[in-house]
Amino acid sequence: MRISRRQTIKLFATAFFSGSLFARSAITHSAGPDSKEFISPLSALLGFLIDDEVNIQQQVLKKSLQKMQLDLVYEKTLLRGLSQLDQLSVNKWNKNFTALNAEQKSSLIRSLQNHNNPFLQRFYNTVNQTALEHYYSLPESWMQLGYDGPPQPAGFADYARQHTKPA
Amino acid sequence: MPDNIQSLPEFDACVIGAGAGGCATAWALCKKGLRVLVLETGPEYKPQKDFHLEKSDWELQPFPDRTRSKHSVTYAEFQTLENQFDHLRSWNHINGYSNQSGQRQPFAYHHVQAVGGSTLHFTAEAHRMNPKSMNMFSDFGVAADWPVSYKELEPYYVQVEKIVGVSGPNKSHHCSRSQALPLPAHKISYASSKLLNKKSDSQRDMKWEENTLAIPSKPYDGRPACNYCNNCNRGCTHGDKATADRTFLKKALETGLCVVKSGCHVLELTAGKNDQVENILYIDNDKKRISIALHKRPVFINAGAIFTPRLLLISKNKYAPKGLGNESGQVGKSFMETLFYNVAGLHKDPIGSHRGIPSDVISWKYNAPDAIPGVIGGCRFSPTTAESELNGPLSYAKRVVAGFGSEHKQAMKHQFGRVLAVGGIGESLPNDKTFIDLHPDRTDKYGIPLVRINSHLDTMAIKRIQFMRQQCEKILLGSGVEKIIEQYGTYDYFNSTHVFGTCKMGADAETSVVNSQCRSHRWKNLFITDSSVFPSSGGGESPSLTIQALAIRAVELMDLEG
Repeated sequence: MRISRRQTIKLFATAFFSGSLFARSAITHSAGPDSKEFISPLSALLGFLIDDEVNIQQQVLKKSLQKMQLDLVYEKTLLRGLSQLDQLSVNKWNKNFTALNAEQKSSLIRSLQNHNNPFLQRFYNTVNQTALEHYYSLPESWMQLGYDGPPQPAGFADYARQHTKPA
Repeated sequence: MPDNIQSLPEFDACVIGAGAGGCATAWALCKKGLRVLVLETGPEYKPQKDFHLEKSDWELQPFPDRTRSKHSVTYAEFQTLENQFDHLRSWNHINGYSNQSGQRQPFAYHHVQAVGGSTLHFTAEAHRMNPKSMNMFSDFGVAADWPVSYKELEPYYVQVEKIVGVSGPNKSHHCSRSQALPLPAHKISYASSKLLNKKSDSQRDMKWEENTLAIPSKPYDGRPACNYCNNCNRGCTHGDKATADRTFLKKALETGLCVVKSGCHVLELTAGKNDQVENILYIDNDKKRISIALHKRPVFINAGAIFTPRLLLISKNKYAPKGLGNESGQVGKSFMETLFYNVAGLHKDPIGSHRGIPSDVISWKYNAPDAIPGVIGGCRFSPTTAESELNGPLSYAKRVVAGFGSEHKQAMKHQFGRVLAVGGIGESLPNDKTFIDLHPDRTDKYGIPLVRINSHLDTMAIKRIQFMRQQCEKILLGSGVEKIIEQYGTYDYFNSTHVFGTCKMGADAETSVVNSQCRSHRWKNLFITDSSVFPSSGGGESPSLTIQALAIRAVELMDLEG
């Protein structure tokens, strides 16, 4: 039985976070040659963009995988972009993206920002902006900003002083 | 086939639309002892359930919208953008120009269909009209004169300010008042205090003062004082903001004389003999078509300056061949949209601009119609950090801080809370190419023609926008901002919340739709008490207070025998 890419993402997402061996073996047995190749570079890319602890990176990766299930355009952009990213990496350093060191990763991502290939620019914007969206909606990311949390129910109590002047 | 309903309550007056005008109208009718039926097409939102300010991904959650199919608008083709005005294009320092086409584009008509209407998402500014801007035709040869004077309207403003619980300064550069406001002004936030920079001549020149707001500075009328969460536009879950449903409608319901039917969408009104509107046809919550025979009872339309003219134009028959109330041909004409410009910058200090009330200070310096050199029609300025949605981590990550990875993270720590944004809202004046009509082909799910917005910026409007942008930049640079990071406005986009003029008030039945008491010149039981009736839009004032003052005045002066 040929599993579709969509099903692969779903299975992998479940397997990755629930540690289900059965699901994992289902992937290696029946999936096509390139269907799980994107997870590794995606994880490495997001990890590099987010630059935080492993469990935070995993949460961001999970959100990205969930988004890929719901948003076809996002899914397509990511899959195509990650494959091109690997290609660029191999062309320059003879290694996959995941095998690059920090400096190399940084230089490669930076080259996407103003790349003459408009797709790569779009890929960079999409993956970076979405990663940031996912990261900064995690409460763990707020303390470093001096940000307390959602506007309500606390509000900003230091402003809520009673007026002393008469009306 | 319309069914006649057995279970409708007995009523003496019907109000269509439960927004700023509708709720005030309902209250005033109940005060007169009349039984009121309010038909509102949208739902009744439950703040705790429907608004999202308590969620960790609150920034991704827009204001809810459960009636999308009932408020779709279409647009006529927009004008070409000119190279000489490229500096007015909407731009962000990370994302570049957002409108890369050569044409003005439609962005949105921000309209809330719900019990409470657009007051549910408004920034709660509570402004009177500037008396100097109410005679635009006699004084400046543009738009039309208000057939009601500021003096006549003043006592109604006082009443409305009391019911709403307006907070603000008692001395203002904007207008005079006969009575003090019911609540003191809110303390100015630290970020906004940077705008007031008293050491700078140009800042002092702006004569900043506290804004008048429909937000309580102390507990008022059963509502708590504001807790300064900086997010009026996403829906107030705290229960302090004076939305129309929490003020006027609540009091109307307490009289026992008012019934609100939400989810009830009016399809058309039927004009009949003897200059009476005979019938209202609507679809109720169970998708049943209900026909109400009015028998001379008054109907008040409050669907806003885009949907009110639509309803009238649709309601054509042999008695009203040009549309109900459209004998003058003016329904839909003189459409005035929101004209604004926002500029955002990064302040040198950590000012914590994500805290406090969104629009806590205001400059009325250029608000009078002749205040801007070379331009007719004024404007006003206020901080817009919150309204621009630059008040949370996500917006900083995507629009303020460039780059990626650990560099981005470090920059976020340094820059979060430093945005200072200021915006101008200016007078919009009518022109021949700007009007509301019905789309010739496209219809909604009920088979009724969709409304079409025709919008054109004339030279004067572009000059006003230009002035606003220039001034915004000047204000920011004079208040400690080091770098401009974003600008956007209505030069390259149609982007409106305040809309006016499409059923204008006037003394002459040939050139206006309603008289000075908001009553149709011809149709004896037809009243319009929303912003469609404004003959001119003012120098950027927010209209809700004026809408409500006009509404309660119209009801008070209503004489059904005449």
